[in-house]
Amino acid sequence: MEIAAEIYVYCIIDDNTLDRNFTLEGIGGGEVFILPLNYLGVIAGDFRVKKENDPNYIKECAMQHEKIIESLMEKYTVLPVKFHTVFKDKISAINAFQKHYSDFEDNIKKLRNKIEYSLKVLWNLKEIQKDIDLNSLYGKSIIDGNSESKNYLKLKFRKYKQRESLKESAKTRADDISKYFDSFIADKKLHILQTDNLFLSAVYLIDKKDINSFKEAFDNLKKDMGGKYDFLLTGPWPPYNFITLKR
Amino acid sequence: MSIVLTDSPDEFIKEIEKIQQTIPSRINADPDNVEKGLAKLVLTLVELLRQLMEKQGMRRIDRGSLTDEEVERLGITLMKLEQKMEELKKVFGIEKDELNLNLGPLGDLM
Repeated sequence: MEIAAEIYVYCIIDDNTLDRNFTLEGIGGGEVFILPLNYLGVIAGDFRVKKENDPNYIKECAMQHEKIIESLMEKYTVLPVKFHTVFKDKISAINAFQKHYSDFEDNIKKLRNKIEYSLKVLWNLKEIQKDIDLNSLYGKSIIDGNSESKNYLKLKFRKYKQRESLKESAKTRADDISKYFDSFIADKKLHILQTDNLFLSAVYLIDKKDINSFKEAFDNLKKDMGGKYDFLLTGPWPPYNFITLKR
Repeated sequence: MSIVLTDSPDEFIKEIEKIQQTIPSRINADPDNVEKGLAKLVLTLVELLRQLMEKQGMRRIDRGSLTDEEVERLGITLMKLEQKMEELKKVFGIEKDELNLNLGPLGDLM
């Protein structure tokens, strides 16, 4: 029996018509089309669920979802929609997106022609810990006495101070790294110490015209600090981390 | 198209996997282990409060704003709280790394 097609939504773009040169193949091989939403457009496609619980099929769908968004990103400003956002028909999809139109419009204005890059940086934790002067951290005996509870607190306090100085060190180094990009990026978000080794996870919002400057700055950064740190640069991505919805 | 540039792919995969391991995507409300799913949620919140108390205590010690007697009491309280949490985790078969929640754009709870 033929399964009725639902509407799968990929993203929102800053145009209500789709360039004829874009021939996109949707998830499951179906056609990709645009649903006009005032001055914006919802990029959608017919969707028939076949193997919902097959991990390989889900992976394939996720790759196709990302591929479509990345292709559109080259020409349009894109607000990506969460993987596997499905509506029963075109009218339901339009109604749902219409409710948040002003939010989308604000985000499109803020993110017009912008993309993001992600930069992750690992340090050599053992070397860093050696650099932290433990004696200056714990030299002064703050907790007097040797009761069980005070000895417990001494251990906790030592860990706390070590963590604090690691955080401080990570912050200073993250700022030093970000200085390479600060003169041309539109915005940035820095996460410090997501793991003990991953001391910086950063995302940078960049105007498309500045992509080459960004790449050049990254090359300089690697040249200057490549001996100390390991870098992972990925992108350009749609500006996933800079979209803010009021709800 | 997007690119991925690194000289140390294995090291990054290891670290990214560590982050993902601490993010349970949902509370498991399977009828067979609904008790464990709820316990995980409750214990995560209790653990968050315990860690906040501990951090606040450490800050006060660092500032030197606690008397000797207060330090003693703080030590006993934190010690007992940690022991109690260990007991509860054992009862429900929950590992330390499981006590976290992904708060979407706000990041992880802990």
